[in-house]
Amino acid sequence: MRNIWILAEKELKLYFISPIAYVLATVFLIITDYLFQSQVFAVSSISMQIMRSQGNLPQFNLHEALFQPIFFSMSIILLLIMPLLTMRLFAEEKKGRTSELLMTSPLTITEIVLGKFLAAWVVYALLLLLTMHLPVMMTSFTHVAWKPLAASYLGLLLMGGVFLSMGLFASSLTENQIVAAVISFGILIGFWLIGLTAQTAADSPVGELFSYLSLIEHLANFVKGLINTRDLTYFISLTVLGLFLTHRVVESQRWK
Amino acid sequence: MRLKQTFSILSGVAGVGCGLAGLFHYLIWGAPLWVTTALEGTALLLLTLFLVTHFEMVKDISTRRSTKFGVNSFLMIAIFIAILSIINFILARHPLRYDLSGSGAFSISPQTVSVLKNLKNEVKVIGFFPERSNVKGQAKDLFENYRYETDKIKFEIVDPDKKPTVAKQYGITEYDTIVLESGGQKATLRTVSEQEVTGALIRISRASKKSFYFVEGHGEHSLDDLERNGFSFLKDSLEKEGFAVKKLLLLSEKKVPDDAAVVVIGGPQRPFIEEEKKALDEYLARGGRLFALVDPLVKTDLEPLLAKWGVKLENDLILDPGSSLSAVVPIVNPGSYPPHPVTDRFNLGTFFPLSRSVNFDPATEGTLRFEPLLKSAPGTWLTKRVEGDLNIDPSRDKPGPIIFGGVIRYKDEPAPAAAEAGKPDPKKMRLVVIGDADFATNGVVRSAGNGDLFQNVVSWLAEEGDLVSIRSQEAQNGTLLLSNQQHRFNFYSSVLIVPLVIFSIGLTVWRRRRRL
Repeated sequence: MRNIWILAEKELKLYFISPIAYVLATVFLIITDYLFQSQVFAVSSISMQIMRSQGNLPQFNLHEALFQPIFFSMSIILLLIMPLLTMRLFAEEKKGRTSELLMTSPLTITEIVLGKFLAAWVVYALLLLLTMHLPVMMTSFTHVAWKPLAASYLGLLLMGGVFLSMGLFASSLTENQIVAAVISFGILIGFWLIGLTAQTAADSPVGELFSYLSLIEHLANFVKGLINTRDLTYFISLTVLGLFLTHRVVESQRWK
Repeated sequence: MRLKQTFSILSGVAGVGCGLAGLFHYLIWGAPLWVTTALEGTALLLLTLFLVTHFEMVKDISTRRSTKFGVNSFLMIAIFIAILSIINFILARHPLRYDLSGSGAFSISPQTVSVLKNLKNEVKVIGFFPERSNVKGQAKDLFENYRYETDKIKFEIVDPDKKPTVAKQYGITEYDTIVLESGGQKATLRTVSEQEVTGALIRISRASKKSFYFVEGHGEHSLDDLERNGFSFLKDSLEKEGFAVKKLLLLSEKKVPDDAAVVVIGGPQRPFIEEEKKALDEYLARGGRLFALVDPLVKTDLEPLLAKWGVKLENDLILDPGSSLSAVVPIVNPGSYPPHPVTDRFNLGTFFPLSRSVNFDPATEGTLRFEPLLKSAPGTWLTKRVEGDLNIDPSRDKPGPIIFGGVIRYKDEPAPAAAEAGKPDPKKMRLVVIGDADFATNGVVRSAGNGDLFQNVVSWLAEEGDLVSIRSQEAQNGTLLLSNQQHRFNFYSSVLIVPLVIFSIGLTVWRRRRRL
């Protein structure tokens, strides 16, 4: 456990002294804030119209009108930028020939994989934390329902686990960072799109399976404010699978 | 070592076998679910055992670095995926949930839960939703909540555009309709709400349907009449909701049948005779539910009977000069109904071609209570000169608002039982009188909220709505209105300042690193 944290700390330091994390966070925040503020503007002008025509201020379920759309948008933006965060984790070591050092170190492979994963997840969690200024900002204008927001953030955090473990796996496959990023895009977008296939094959066991595999179906429940062991199991399983695959690949490199 | 290896491989093979058997059982038969779960559970145990023992073995021979290793690794990944799939399968079938939505979107009322737990037969639910439906997601969530409590409910969505034959088979004429089907009984719903759905579930899971009797023999609007003046549309919609609609000839029956949930007198044109009135009076006295629609300008001789129960009818007519339809068609706008369970959350307007006033006789005040149901607008008048010209004469006519629909019931009416209505109790008597019957005829029943009002009244009389109390879902609602300045402040501070802060931190770190 201590070893995992030591490695994670080292990786975190690398993240924060290189410009990549800052650039990612800046771009992510600009897009998210922009989308959120447009949503606020839309809801506000609908309110204005209704108030003019009916004379009273309309009641909204604000979580539904304001925050649900932004969480879906955020999940897509994160899907697109997370591979850039994970692509270097193993690929860089291989390219820089430092992987031999790591492999011959007293750390077990499990510790190495978990350490790197943990570091990436902390960065991811910090990114999410930064977006918290949006609901906090809204408290001065309206009543913010924190419970469904907490569920939504939990959903994104767990979904991030899938993004990162798959990215880690992609990074362990190659020594080229671009290739690693492209592979993880492929895997994640595949899991994203499988829901669309499910719709066309609805009402059949295959359709049911596909919709179960779809990332967005499971995120949707969290974003609506429902914590379901079904969705927890799904996200955790995919994360563990990604980590297991990474483990296998890294170990195979030891005996190759 | 050998023995251990044999054991490990055996458990692996058996595990895969169990897993596949469970999968096939689920895909082909589907039920009972516990068989699948048991098979998958065994598979899970065996495969985990295999993986653990195998891991050790792999480590044992890892010094050999043979090509066999690649095969082993592949096998292990396959087994690992199988284990994860089984865990997901089992947990997806038996989920635990925690509702944080705050709006109660994922929680259902205890009454609904007890209805679901008492379901004996499987209920098939088909939602006819087009591809882009506003309420499809809501319906999905609602039935997901129901399925969480019981496995007796099977929910499926049919797109009526893609499968018109199925829609035709169920007689679906409108989008966003839900059909519940169980043991030969059917109910069709047009609204997606817990109250409606649970009410329908109770109706179709009863041994027999609740019966609504319509009195005949005095020129009432007929249930069979398909013309403008008939009640056939009304009959159709009540039957679709899962009620039995029957005719009642009081003269030959002598008394109101015991299975009558509600008796409707739908606009009689000729007088009732004493025996008939006696039968109705007895019915009310034993706790019956009567819905009387009494038109103005006709002689029905019902006045003494109704007066005995506290309702005063007079030979008068409501005039509504502000009505957009006609001066003799009072309109009740949404939001102007007196507060009452019947019109609670009812957001449609209604109109009543030719209506008389309905009043309470204060002399009978005591054990009975009168609750107004319909009230004309403030600009209306009540006139007693019902013939000749209908000009308003402020000196003789009474200014509105005029009450022309009301409820009589006991002040100490027993609370409705959560389950089926129990034994007869005189105190359960409910009487609704409306000074007009035309509003529910074929010609206008599908306009505005007329049909809905009639259905609301009869289902309230039959204690349908009382079975499920609805939770208020408005607690979480809020308002949002930003001035342009506030919006601009918000926009620039979050789109520019926050990212800028992050970016400058990054820049500082990077420059300091470069200098080092």
